[in-house]
Amino acid sequence: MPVITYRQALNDTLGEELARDPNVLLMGEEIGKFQGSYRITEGLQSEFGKQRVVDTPIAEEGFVGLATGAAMLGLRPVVEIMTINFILVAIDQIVNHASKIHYMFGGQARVPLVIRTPSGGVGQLAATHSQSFENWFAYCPGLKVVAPATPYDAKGLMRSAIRDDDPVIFIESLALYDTKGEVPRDDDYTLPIGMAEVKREGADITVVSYSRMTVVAMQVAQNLEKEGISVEVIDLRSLRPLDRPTIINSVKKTNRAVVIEEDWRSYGIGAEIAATIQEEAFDYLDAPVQRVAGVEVPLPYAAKLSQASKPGAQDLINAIRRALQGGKRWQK
Amino acid sequence: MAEVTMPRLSDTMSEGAVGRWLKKPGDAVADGEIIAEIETDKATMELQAFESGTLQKILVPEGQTVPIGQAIAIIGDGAAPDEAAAPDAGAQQAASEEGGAEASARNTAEAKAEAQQAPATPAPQAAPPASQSNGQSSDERIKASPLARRMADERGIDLRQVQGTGPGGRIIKENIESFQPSAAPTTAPAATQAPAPAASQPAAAAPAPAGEVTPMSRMRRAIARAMTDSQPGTPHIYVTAEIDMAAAVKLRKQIIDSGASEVKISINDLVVKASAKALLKFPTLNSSYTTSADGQPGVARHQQINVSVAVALEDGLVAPVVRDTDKKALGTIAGEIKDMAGRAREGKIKQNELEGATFQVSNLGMFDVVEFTSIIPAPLAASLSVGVVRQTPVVRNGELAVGELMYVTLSVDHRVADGATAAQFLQELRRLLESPMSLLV
Repeated sequence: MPVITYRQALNDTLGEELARDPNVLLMGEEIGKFQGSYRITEGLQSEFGKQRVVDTPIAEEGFVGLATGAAMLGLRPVVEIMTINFILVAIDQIVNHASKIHYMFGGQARVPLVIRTPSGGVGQLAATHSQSFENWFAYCPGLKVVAPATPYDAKGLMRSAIRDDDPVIFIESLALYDTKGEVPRDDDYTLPIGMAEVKREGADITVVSYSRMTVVAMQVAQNLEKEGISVEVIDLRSLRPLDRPTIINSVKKTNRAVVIEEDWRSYGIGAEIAATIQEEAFDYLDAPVQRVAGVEVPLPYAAKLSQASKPGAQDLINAIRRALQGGKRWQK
Repeated sequence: MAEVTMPRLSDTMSEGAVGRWLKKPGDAVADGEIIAEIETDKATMELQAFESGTLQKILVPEGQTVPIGQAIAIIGDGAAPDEAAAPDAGAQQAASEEGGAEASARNTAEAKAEAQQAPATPAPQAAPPASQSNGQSSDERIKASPLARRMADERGIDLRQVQGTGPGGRIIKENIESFQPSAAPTTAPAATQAPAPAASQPAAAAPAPAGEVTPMSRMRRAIARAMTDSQPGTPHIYVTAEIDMAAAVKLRKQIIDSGASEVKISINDLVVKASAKALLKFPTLNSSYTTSADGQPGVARHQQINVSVAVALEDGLVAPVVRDTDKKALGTIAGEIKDMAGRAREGKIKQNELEGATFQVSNLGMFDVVEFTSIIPAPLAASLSVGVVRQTPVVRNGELAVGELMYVTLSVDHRVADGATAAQFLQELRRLLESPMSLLV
């Protein structure tokens, strides 16, 4: 199986979907002539033309509204928001229109819209360019939110998102674009939206993660295995709908859980997971559910402060040790 | 409130020493901060806190080596140590007392002052009754994970009897899984189903098979360590009681006069039988200090009650063993002791008849000794020293009378049991001997 980057997987998939379905079109800032700020749409405008790969003005609310209308009339727009920080300008279009039209107008129109955007911070992009807002959208009924962690999942979920008849927020990650993984060629696979994956089986503790934090969790699980700690890693892949059964089944097996997310802790994805676990697996818990998340500050520009504000492998290891505390099995 | 435990820093590490504390009690610590240097068998490594808070208490001083998994410090919320420790029983109590025990072992004025400042929990000697082994009283909310609660419910386990090892003494799944009912008389009859072959259970059989070893609580371990510090080897304590043997003397005479027993029953036979019956109620004294397979100190409860009787030889001493003493009739016990003691004096006792004791009785009454103490033969947990029965003025129902008093002294391995248990055992022994009919049934 060929090994390609996350970026390449997205680029390939967008190209394949443009070729497969004439109703698919791409829209966004600098995605055509400039080939995308992060080169996700590289080569697509020259291949499919300016009608199918549309460069928009810097006006997110306007072009998300435009895409919503186009979707209602049968097109399948895939909108790039350069980073999730800029999506706030368009949030009224997404939350008050795209997510509700099918419901409020008696099912007369569907909105097969994809908004893809990288979330989270990388490098020194400072407070307004390093945020994670996927929970804002996962909060909203009428939207679907996916956040793949690997090139394979990115491809399978992008296909599903484009072919889905409801608006899908497709969360990418700047830090994942250059990561590599196996992706089959000439295989039109899709991944169902709303299904998590047990990425690694373990017996002692469940780590729930998504997007880049899944990569962190997998590394930590590998390291802790040397100490005899068996970590099960769940990659959510989809934040709405949330695959609660997979989480619950895992916790019923391991009796302990840690949730790791890149965004701020309060009111986050981790809070939702922790609440779900206590609701549905209370009698199986042997320790409080631990949350690992970012420090609740506007992300500092200074490199060291920025680093210290973000959750990392050591934070996850510490949380796992907290959750395992008192169990002799792991201390000997 | 969280315990910082000796971490496992390498594959081969089984214990580590605190090389240097980088924080002192009262200092704020942050999750991930380096708080100490740990010396392993291979290298000096940094110890990270994985809890934010205040370093409440250092349990293991610099230079001391402890096994991995043992608590070495407590990180709390910054409240004064005593106040913070007060609401929680269980492990915190044990932890604070461990600190106390070590403090007294250090024996410095500072340490003494420290120990005196910790009045929140009772001293180890005032041990709670065996039925409340986790030190939590019945009307307190017991800290247990939801899972442990459900498992205990399903298995009919009383959470008050379970020692929690989770943070703050919380009872967790593995505490329920490894729980063995303590001090329950029901455990003793189970011995009949699996009698250990005599030869495989020699007197110095420690360490016992791991499955039978109950790990010591931290409090128990702290007591064991502190006692061994002051009395290396087996730290003994001695508890003496006076028993009115009038009824026993009368019963003995009746048995002899009636010819009910082929062998002449002795006072000592009655004491041996009564000891075995009392041990049924106090199995802690029918056990051995040992270490489990993983090297942790523990207590091996013996499945059988085998009382040995010290027999003086011309220049020495042997102690033949009466197996399953609790199950044998008085006449059988008397016969076996007479037979084995006779052969011992002739040098014809077999080695296997001297092995497998779980408790010992020494009697110097025939030499008119009123009271003495005996050294516990390892690895037993206790031995009983029996004095002469002598006529002494006693007060009965407010009137002076002639009593037949006997002094008994129980020597107890203080690592395994405390004075209160010894005293309760002697109460039971006294009850049995003062109402000796119970020895016949």
